[in-house]
Amino acid sequence: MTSWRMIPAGLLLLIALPLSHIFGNNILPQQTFRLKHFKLEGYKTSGELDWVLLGSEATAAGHRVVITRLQARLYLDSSGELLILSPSCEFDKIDNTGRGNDTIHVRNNSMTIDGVGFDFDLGSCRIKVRKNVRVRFFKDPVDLLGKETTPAALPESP
Amino acid sequence: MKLSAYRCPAHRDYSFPRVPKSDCCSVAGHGRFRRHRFAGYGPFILIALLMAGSPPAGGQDPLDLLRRDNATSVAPTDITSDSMEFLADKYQINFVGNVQIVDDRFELKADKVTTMLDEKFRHKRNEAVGNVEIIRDDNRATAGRAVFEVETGEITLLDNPIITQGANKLAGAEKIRYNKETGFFRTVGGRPNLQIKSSKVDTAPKTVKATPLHGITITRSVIFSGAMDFHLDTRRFNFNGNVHVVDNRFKLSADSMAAFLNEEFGVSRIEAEGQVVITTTKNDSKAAGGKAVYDVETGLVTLSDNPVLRQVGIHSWGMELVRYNKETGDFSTEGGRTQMRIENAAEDVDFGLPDLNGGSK
Repeated sequence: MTSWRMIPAGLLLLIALPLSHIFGNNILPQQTFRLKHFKLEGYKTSGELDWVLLGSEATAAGHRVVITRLQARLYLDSSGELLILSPSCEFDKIDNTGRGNDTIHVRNNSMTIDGVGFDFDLGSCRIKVRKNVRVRFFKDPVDLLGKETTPAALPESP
Repeated sequence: MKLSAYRCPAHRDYSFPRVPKSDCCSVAGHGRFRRHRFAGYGPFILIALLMAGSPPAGGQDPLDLLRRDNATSVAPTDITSDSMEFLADKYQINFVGNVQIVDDRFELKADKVTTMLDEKFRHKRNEAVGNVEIIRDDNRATAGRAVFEVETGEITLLDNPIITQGANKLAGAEKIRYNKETGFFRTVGGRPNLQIKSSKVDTAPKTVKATPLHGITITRSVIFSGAMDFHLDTRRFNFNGNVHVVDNRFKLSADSMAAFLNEEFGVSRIEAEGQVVITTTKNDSKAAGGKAVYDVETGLVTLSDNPVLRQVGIHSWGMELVRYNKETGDFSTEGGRTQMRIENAAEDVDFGLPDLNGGSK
């Protein structure tokens, strides 16, 4: 009798587990992970490095990661590198999108973008800045990208 | 393992004074060969770095990157706005709300600006829409739309473009092409009219609409022509094709004409060329010549290049110059060998020069 009673519960579990996987662990209670010296990489279909996200700290819950002291490097085919800096960012690992209400600083050898509040999509290489936008274009190339920084070396507040 | 007394000059804290020479830098995590190549030069390198004022491990701190951009590049272009979207895949940035573009030569304001970039994300082209305003020194241009080519510095103003220089105002053209580097502008199409404040008469200019031709108002004078351009740096207007000056005292027609402005952008001198004909409104006297110079300050128009004169039935020719005083309405001749003939009212006299009855021969 006891084994018959367990059948509905077992079925429910069988249904819930794949669903929780599909919906990114949103149904069942999520586990939160705190990481130091966070690093996440994305690759192109050709196998080349597409982007690298660095953070001094990260809190991951499901597919969402809150990154502290973000430094994102995008490796674009013809346009070289694009560097994104922000004190904090909420990143979606599935969509490869990020958003935040803090300041954002974007650097390239030809221009800089600064502002407050942002959304970015690493897949399509699009960045929205919500307010206080300031873009500076340089007539001659300027080295604003520097060398790749380790997460531990990131400053408290860019 | 035998320990030597070697101290690695790359170590600053001397915490490994007795580490074997071969293992020293690998213990500290330093690049072994690179560090030892400079062994013994440490103090000199430190002094050199201090003198250069650069950090020993430059480029490691993102804060350095943020600080660096203000100190580099000649005359950058700044764009500020309420919000923006950077479409790297399309090499495009869309700025929205209170957009302002500032560089060393001009300032542009608009509601929206679309900036096109090249593949290296260099600034290439801007399309501004809505309440476009361009300011360069004392000059101000407004339009509904503007296209700005960064490479050439040329700005095309569209949708009711108006250029204002102090009290002078150009409006009515379909397009105004303006070069921000040279200050040159020209009108394209439409029915433009331009008011220019005279340097002599300090009254408010009166707007005169120029019908199919381009028009320029000099207090009570209007200049019409088929085409017109202006060079800011030389403060010179060029009029080409069927040029007419209409004043309350006289009319002047010519093939081409140049109007020069003074520092206050008032007209100081006008030079006309090609079949120049002056007709007075007072007594219908006419003078013709190949060239004419009108000095606005003195009110004198000087005709040269085989000038001829007809006054109340008297024809004169052979003189070097003919002067017309706009204030008194008098003609005078100068130089050459003047010949005169009394005109028979029944006969039509042909000077073999421009048709004095108006129009071009």
